[in-house]
Amino acid sequence: MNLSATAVTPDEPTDAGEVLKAQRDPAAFATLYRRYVTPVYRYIFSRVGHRPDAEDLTSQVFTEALASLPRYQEQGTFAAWLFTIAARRIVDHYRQTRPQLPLGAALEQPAAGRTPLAQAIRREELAQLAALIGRLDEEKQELLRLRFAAGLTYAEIGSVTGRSEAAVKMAISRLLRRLQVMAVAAEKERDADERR
Amino acid sequence: MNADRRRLEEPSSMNEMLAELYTTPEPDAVFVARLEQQLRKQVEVTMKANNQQPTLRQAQANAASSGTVARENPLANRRWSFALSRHRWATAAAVVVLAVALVLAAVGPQRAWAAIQQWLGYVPGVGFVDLQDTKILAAPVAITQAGITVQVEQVLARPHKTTVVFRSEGLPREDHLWPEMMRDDHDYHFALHLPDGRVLTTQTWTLRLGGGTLEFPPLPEGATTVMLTMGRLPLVPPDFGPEAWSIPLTLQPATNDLIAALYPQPYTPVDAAATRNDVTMRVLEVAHTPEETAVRLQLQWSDPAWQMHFLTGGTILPYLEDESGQVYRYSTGSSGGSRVQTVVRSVDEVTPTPFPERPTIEGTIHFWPASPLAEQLTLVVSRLEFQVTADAAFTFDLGPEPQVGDSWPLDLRLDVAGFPVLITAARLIEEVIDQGPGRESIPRLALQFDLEPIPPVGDRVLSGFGLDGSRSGFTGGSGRYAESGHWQMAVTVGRDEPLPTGLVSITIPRASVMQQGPWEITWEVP
Repeated sequence: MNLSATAVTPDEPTDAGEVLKAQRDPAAFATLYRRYVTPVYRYIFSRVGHRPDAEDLTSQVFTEALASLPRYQEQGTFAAWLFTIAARRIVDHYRQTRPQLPLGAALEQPAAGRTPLAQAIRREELAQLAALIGRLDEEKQELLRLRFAAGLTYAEIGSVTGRSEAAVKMAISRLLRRLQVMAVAAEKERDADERR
Repeated sequence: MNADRRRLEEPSSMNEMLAELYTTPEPDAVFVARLEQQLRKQVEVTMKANNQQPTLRQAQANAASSGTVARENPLANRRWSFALSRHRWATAAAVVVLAVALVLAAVGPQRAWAAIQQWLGYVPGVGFVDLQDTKILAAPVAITQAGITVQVEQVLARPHKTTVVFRSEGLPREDHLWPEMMRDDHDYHFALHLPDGRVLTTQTWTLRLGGGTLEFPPLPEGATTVMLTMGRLPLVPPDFGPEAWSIPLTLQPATNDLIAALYPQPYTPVDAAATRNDVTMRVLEVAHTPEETAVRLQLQWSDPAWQMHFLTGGTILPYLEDESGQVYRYSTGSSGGSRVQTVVRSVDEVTPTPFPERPTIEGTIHFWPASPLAEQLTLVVSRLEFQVTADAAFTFDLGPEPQVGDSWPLDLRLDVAGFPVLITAARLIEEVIDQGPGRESIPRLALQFDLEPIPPVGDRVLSGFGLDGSRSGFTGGSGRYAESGHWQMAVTVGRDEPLPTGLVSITIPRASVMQQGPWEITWEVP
C-alpha cells in the first residue's frame, strides 16, 4: 500500500498548477488523471468491492471532474474535490444497486513470501480486523478508507470531510487505538473460550 | 498461534495491517488507457464546440457586463441561464426552425401546423408529458431563509394530478446532516393551500436531500394561485435550520408558445429497436437538455413468469455513445433518485405493440447530456436482470443438540432456476449485528452455507437468491457473494427464538437471473 500515492515529488508540478493548466487547456487534464486514477479507483473499489462497478464509477468521477473543471475554484485541494465527487457517485450507486462486500479482496488473496501457515494466520488476523472495522460507524470506516484505500494525506481527508488536518490526525490516531483496544478485548474473549 | 495473534494488538502493526486489509487491486491497464482515451475525446468535442460558440464563462462575463442578468427576476434569470447554457444548442434550434419553414413551404401552413402543434414536452424533473389542459409555472420561484434557498422549479397542474418539483441550495452534505445514523420520520407536512381555504395533501413523492417531486390531487378548475407549504425540508433532520416554509406559486395555462419556450421538444427515433435472447428493447422518445439526455424505453419479453424492475437491477448501467465514441453515462437525472419516471402516454400512441400479450414495461432513463455535435446516438445495455421463480428446496439434519461452532461437510446439489448449485459445507455461527453508535449490538445465531461458484448457463448468470428456512423455525436470511465466485448464504434464528434441531427444510423460492446482452440501438439525432 502506497500511502503517498497523491504526494508530489519536487520535480513534479503541483495539483494547483496542473489544475490551472487544465482550465486553460483541457488536454492538460491528462496529468491529473494519471496522478489520481489509481487512488480514486482503489477508494471506489474499497467501497463497492466489484471491479466493473469500480471501473464504471471511476469513469463517471473523471468525466464529471473534467466537465466541471472550468467551474472548480481552489478552496481545499484538487484531491479533496475529486474524492468528494467519488463519494457522491458512490452514494448514487448505492441508491441504485445492492451493496457488495467491502473488505473481501485482501482476505482472499494469498500474501506473497509467507508460508501457508503464516498466510492462514494472517488471513485470520485480517478477518478479525475486518470484523472489528465492521462494528465502527460509517463515518469512522470512511476515514479508514480515505487513509488506507485512497492513500490521502490527513490534510486531504480534512478537505473531503470538512475537518481540520489536526482533527483528522487525532481522529485516525484515536481510531487506531480504539481498534487495538477492541482487538485486545476480542482476544481475551477468545482465550477465555479456548480455556473453557 | 496466540503469539502471532497478539501482533494485531501491537500499535506498530496496526497501520501495516490496515494497509494490507485495504489493499485493493490496481485498476486494469486497459481500462485506465481506455478511460484516458475517452476523456481525450470528451476534451476534443468540448473544444470543437467552444471554437464554434463563446465559452460559458465568456458568455456569463458578457451578460454580466451588459447588465442583462436580472437576478431578482426569476423568469429572466431562467431564460438567461437557459440561453447561456444552451449556446451549444443554438445550431440545433436553428436547424429545427429551418425544418419548420421548409415543411410550411412544402405542405402548407395548416397541415404542417396540425402535425407540429403538439402538446408533448419533456419537463425536467417530471418526464415526457402531455401538456394539454395543463397549467404551469412559467418561471422558478425561490425563497431564502437563514442562508438556505428553496426553489420550486416546475409545477404542472394537469387534469389528473398536480406535480411540484423543487430543490434546495445551502444545505450541508447529507452525511454531515445525519452523522449518528439518526432515523428520519418523513413527517414533512407538504401541502398546497388554495385561495378558497382548501388544502391538498400529497399523494406520492420522490425525495432528495432538500428537494423532490411531489404529487397532489388535481387543482380545482380556475385555480391559478396556490401556496406550497412544508414543515421542513426533505431528508433534513428536525430542528436543523429554517422550518415552516411557505412559497406562493402563480400558474399560467400552457400554451404552445410557452411550452416551446420552456421545454425541449422530444422526438421519436425511427426503427429504434433491438431484440436479443427474446427480449425486445425499443426507444420510444428522446429529449435533450443541457443537463441530461432522457430516453423513454420499452422492454418486452416472452416468459410471463419473468419479472423485471426496469433497468436499475443490473450492476452494469446502460450508456449512450455517439458516432465519435464519446460515452454518456447513466445518471439519476433531473427527476432524481432511482425511481423510474411514470409514463404518461400509452405505448400505442407512439409505437404499435406487435405482441400485446407479452410482458411489457416502460420507463425513462437519463444520461449525461449529449454533445450538440452528436449526429447519431447508440444506446448500449449490457445485461438485464430478471426476477424468476426458483422453486428449489433441500433438507438438512442439524442433529438433536446443535451447538455454535458445529460444522458439517455437505455435497448438496440443487437446481435453482435452471442453474446447478453445489452446497459444500454448513456451520452454526453467532453473528453480532451492530446497531450503530449508542445502540446495543444484537447477537444472532445463523446457519451458514458455503456454495461453490455457480457456472453460467448459456448467456445467463444466476445473480442472486435467498434462502427461506421459515418452515423450520428460521426467521431471516442473508447472503454474500465474493469476488472469487464463492457464495455464502445463511438462514438466521430470531432473537429469543430457540435454535431449531433435527431435520430442517430450506427453500429457495425466487432468484435473480442476469441475461447477458448487449442490446444496442442506434438512431439519428434530428
